[in-house]
Amino acid sequence: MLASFSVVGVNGAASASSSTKIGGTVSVWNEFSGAEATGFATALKPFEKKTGVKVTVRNIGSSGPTLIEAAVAGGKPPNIAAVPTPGSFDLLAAGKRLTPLKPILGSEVKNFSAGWNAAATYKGTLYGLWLDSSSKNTVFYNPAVFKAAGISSTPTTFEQMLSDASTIAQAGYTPISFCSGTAGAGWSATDLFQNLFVKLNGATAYNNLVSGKLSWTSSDATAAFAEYSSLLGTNGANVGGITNALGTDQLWPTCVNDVFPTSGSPTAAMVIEASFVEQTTPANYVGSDASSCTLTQTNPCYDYFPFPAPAGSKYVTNDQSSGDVAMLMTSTKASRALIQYLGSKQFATLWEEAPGGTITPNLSVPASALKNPVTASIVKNLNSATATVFSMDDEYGGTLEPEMWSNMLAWVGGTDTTAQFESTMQSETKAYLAANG
Amino acid sequence: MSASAINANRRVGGHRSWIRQHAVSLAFLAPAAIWLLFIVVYPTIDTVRLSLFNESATRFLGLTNYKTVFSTDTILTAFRNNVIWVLIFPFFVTTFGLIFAVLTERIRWATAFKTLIVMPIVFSTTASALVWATMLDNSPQIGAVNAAVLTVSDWFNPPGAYPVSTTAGQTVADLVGSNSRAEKNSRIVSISSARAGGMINIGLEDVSPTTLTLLKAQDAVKPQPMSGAITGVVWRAFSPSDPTNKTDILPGELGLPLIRLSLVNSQGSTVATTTTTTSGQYKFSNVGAGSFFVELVSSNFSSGFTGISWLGGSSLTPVSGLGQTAQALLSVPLADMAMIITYLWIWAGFAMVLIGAGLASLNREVLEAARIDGAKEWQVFRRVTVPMLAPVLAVVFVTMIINVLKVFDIVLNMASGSSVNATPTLAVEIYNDGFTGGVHSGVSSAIAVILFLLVLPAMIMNLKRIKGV
Repeated sequence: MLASFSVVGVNGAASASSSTKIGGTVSVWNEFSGAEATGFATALKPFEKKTGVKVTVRNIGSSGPTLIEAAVAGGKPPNIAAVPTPGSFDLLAAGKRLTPLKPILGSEVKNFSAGWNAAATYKGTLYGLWLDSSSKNTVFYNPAVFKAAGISSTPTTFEQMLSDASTIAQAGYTPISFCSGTAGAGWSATDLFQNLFVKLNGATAYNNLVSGKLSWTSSDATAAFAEYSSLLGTNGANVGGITNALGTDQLWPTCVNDVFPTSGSPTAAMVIEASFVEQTTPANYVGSDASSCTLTQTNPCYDYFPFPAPAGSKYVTNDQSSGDVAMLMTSTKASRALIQYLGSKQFATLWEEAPGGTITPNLSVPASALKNPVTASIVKNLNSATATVFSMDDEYGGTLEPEMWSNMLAWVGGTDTTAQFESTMQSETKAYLAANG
Repeated sequence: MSASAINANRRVGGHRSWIRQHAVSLAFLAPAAIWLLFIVVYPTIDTVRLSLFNESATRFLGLTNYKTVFSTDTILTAFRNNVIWVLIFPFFVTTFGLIFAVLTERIRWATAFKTLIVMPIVFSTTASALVWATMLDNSPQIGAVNAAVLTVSDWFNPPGAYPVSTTAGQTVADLVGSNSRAEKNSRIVSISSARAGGMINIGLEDVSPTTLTLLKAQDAVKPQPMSGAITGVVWRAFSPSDPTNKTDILPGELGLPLIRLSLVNSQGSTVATTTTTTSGQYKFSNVGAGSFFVELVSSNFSSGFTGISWLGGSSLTPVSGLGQTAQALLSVPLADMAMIITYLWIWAGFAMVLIGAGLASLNREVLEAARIDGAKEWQVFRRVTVPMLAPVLAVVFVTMIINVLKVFDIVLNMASGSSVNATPTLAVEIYNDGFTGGVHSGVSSAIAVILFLLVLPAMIMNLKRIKGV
């Protein structure tokens, strides 16, 4: 009774604010570029028209958090900022730079799953709103190559994926095209480790590892490394793509092109990376009917399956994701109206329908707005996660981020053993947290 | 007492009159001085302050960040790379500059030559880096340098029809499917043996379908046994309809064309050779007495030249097996050399122009005198020209030391996926630690302070030289 009353109240307030022109300007800083920036701008238009508020968007590049901190120190932060680094979100919330959002968003809070809202909460208070996201819980594959290797259904366990991989190798294809990452390499290798860790040990253990409460030398980390080793093929299993990535210059997105070539035939079957792989592939989704897919077609078929958890994993629905979280830094009438709009169905649907689209964490977006069944499936998969964790390198800063990457590549390349990796990471994490925790 | 008061007065008065005397120059200097105060002095001091705080500049840490700098492998790698750059680059760029400057004085078309050498300076460093990175690409299909090496290499070491993808970690053993085993020196030998009139079929897997399309492979067909001959088929033992069946030749499985075979007797010596047909069949006629094995010779699987990874992470010094810290300090990445060569290409022209100017202002009479005294051209160059040019050479050398201590754009733009962790210099490390990812300024500032201290002696030396010249 009370709940329904409050919902009505908020709705009333929202409709009142939208019927009258508010006017003024709102500054928004974000890291969107290209199609993302266009989609974001398109989705803002109805708001500007309806409220008369002028939204000035500024792209702050990849050093965004540094700029925001500088602006805060200078006393003139933007009204709203969106960053992809949960570490910066925590830092800003801890520094009391953010406005609590629950009273402002009202019923729009329900547009997001508990997992996403938890990821926008600092010490019990909701300070953030996830605008877009990427699921790292995905493995993209070429159905034509699977067919050529005689694999009729996608694997549901990690072990099954490994046995499929060896069948694919026998058929003469590289089973997994492994990216060493962009310049600043190593994120691909760490993503894979993080996927395995969160499925085996859960989000709580994962976050404890990040915050130093759980040691890198614990059996949890070792278990994830053991699974990772079996993927690398310690006993000559034919996952040649890994060595390829380390030995040569397999930069992102070359690894994607090996599986989904724009010309010529595919040489590899799978690429284990986040949902943004979809943006680099030609839009030729043939999902349920792989029989029409051929190896030589110019726009190769693509599909995905959720990253398969090792058999017996206790946390199959704990996923790794990434995204941009919007924060209200200076509260004005116009900026409050905008942040509420950013959480609305209208905003999320318009962005979804814009060219390029996004993987929206907003549950209220209708299925009809989603680009294709793959996107729809990824969104469903993303929102059904019971807990969401973020890449460790986004949580860390300073020297620890590049150190973790280089340690990971040393481990993948066989320079370091698991024990060496763990003790190095443990001492480096400890030193980093002692200085910055 | 009064005398000292007068003295003091005079001093003050002198001071005042000094200001009055220089009022105009001071007025002109002031804007620049204030500007420099803001953009040079303040940032320098603030960087020192930041280097003593934690990453978000909220807690004083003392020298902890400096300790981190010297105990973090990625940063030690950057120190090592700066040492490599400083040891190699200034020497060679001065040498090339000198050679070009002297040469252009005595050749025809000197202006055209000079223009060519100087041109790279006007290109953006990023553009130069990207062009060179493409030229040095490890795939001969993309990189011009590797394409040239490939052309030469193919004369001596042509690739086989079924090249093993060594870059993907594939070995000949991976190809072994049915009735076959891998032998040393990249050969595959049949497990079964046969006498005249018998048959040996060999199945391989892990064969790239692209290769088979290229060779126009046909469906594998078992040949008929022939008296006095050993026959058989070499086929791709993989069928999507039954992936686990390796022993039978299933419908749709392709024969492997153009496989070079040897007939090997029980002593292990080759008695005959042949090649398979488009459907994978072969025949050794007029086989003598005894039992024989069939061998797929190693040249079938030779991967030929697959490209040198000029911009890869491989080290010129043997460091494999050493720990991460030892590797960070001791390895000399090939990619460093590739970048230094690119940087030489950019800066040799600049060195040439400076040295050329010095050369033009040399006293010709001294050179003439040396020649009249019977000195040969080489002697004139070594004993007269170079010593007289020494001040200019020193300025170029020291300027280039400063230049490479802070080298940044070329490294950032040329590093490949496999060398991005091996090639950063201190300037790149400042960027990586401070400006990518979240908010963090402490360690990055500490590196900046150290880099500043490293550049300082070279700068002072240069200032003194310029004053002296």
